[in-house]
Amino acid sequence: MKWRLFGSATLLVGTLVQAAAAQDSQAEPLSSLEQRFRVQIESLIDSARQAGLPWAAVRSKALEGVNKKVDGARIVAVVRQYYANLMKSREALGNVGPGEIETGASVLTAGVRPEDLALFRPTTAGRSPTRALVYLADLISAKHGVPRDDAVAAFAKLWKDGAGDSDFDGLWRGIDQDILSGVNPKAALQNRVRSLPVRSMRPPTDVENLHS
Amino acid sequence: MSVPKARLLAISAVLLTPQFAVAQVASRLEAGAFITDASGQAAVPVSIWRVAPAAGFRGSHGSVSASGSAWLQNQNWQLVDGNIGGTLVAPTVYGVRAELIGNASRAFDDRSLGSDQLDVQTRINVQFNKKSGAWLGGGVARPWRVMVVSAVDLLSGGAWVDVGTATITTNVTSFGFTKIAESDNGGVGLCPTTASLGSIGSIGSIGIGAAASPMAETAPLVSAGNCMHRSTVTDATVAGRWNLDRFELAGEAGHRMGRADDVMHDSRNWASGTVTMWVAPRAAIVAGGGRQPSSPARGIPSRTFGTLGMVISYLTPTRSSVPVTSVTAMVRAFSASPAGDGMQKFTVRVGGVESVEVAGDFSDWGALTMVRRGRDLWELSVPISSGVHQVNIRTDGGRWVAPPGLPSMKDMFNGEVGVLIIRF
Repeated sequence: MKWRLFGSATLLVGTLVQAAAAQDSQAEPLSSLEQRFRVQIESLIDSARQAGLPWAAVRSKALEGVNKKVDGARIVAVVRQYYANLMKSREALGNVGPGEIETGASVLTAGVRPEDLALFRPTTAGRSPTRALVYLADLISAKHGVPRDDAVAAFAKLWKDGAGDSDFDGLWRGIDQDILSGVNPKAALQNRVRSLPVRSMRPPTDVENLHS
Repeated sequence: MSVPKARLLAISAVLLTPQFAVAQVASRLEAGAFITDASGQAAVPVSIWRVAPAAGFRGSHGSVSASGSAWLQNQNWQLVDGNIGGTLVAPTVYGVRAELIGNASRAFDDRSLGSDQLDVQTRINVQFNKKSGAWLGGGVARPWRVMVVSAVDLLSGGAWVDVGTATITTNVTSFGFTKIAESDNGGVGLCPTTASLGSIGSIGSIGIGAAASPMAETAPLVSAGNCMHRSTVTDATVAGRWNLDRFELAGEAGHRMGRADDVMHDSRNWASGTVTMWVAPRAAIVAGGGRQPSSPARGIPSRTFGTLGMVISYLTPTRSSVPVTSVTAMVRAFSASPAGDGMQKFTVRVGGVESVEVAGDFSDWGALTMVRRGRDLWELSVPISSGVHQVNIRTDGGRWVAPPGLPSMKDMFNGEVGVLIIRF
């Protein structure tokens, strides 16, 4: 009887410990990192929070590394680099939302220079460069191989001229299709930009600014 | 056949061209001593230097490979064997894949005997999971310059399983062919009296390295007292390969089934093994030995051998013991559509896989298992907020990749993520 009681108690304790461990793991997935790396990551998250940067994105980058089984030292290095890119992104894009800052940081990772990123600084309230930047980063990646400077120049001009999300969406799909069909990436960019309808895409606020 | 040393070295240099661009290219050069004894037939030298270059390319839809070996004998390089082969692979559907395999090969025992062969086989592979599978196939081989006067029918089947770092493969292969056989004391044995076709004089039985003769010239040699004999032999083999840090151990044992007239006593059972010790990332010492059975359809005798050599390799050669290689499943399509209540329904189209998972910032990068809804349709609804999200998918626990159809970005961990922009 005593043994049965002891066994039941052990089983119950074991189950509770497992459940607690699982809850703990769910509460903080970063706990799987080694202590020394976790401390550094948490420090970077705190710094981002204090600096008004999208700290959730910093944490997410660390979790991405953890779940992709990257070693701790590498995760710390990547998160540190990402934090620096967030700073540069905010500096270049100005007063924009966290989504734009995160996208800007990813675009810097893709090889766009901070001064080029600054060309996409919104001048109109509510206008977001997110799509333009996402498509730009994709086109200059090795997968598509559009020359960076050409792509930046074309996209920045379209952005400045007031192109909307649907314009960038159509442009990206067209270039992607052309490259898949065997067209030279640079030529694909030039052809598709040239084929965009000639119309004033300048947003009203910019027009007003010009007249003022 | 002699090959000038310079030419051989040039071929080896080409085969050892450094890896260019794609990781599937592998080449190797093995050089060392090779000692063999062909059961007293004296068809091969007993102690020789040997070089064996090999190269291969493996892509998602097929592979090509070339290999050969040459022996140094009496100050001359002698080509021993050469093989060029290719495989076309059909897409995997539910773990089932078809392959079309073709080879052209040449083999020599000494300067007076050699044979060429073309073979084509089809094979159906079934991969039960990532650690086991089976195959069944058949085909035809056409040898020249041997006493076989028909195409060789091939039928093979087998299974493989990964156990830890070891791969165990079993294989049963049946060979059926017609050859010219000598009469045996008045029509008993291989040539029944009623089937006797004539005498072929000094031509010996298949498999012991007799004089070579082109097939076209063979048939007229059939004369009184000899016959066309249909032989069927079946080989059953078990092979294993273990990777233990710097060591690779490989072994094979086999048994040949067939009539006593068709299977020579020295080829009933055989076993061999090799040990490869990697002393540098691209260099290894190889030692091995054992017994190889005869090749009855090609007239290659059995032999006992021992070898000690050095391998220089660009990329570790792929595991030859596993006939089924994992080909990354191609995700054909990915889409996200609103599913109400702040949910998005992800849809993936990919066939021939056991599992599909999706992960992203919306799941704290935890893997979410998708649900199979059709032959190649996988779905999952997840709560996701409006905004820019990064997403990866993977099949069968493989590598995380950016879903097709989405713009992608570097993930800073040597991979890519797809970018999903959600607007409610």
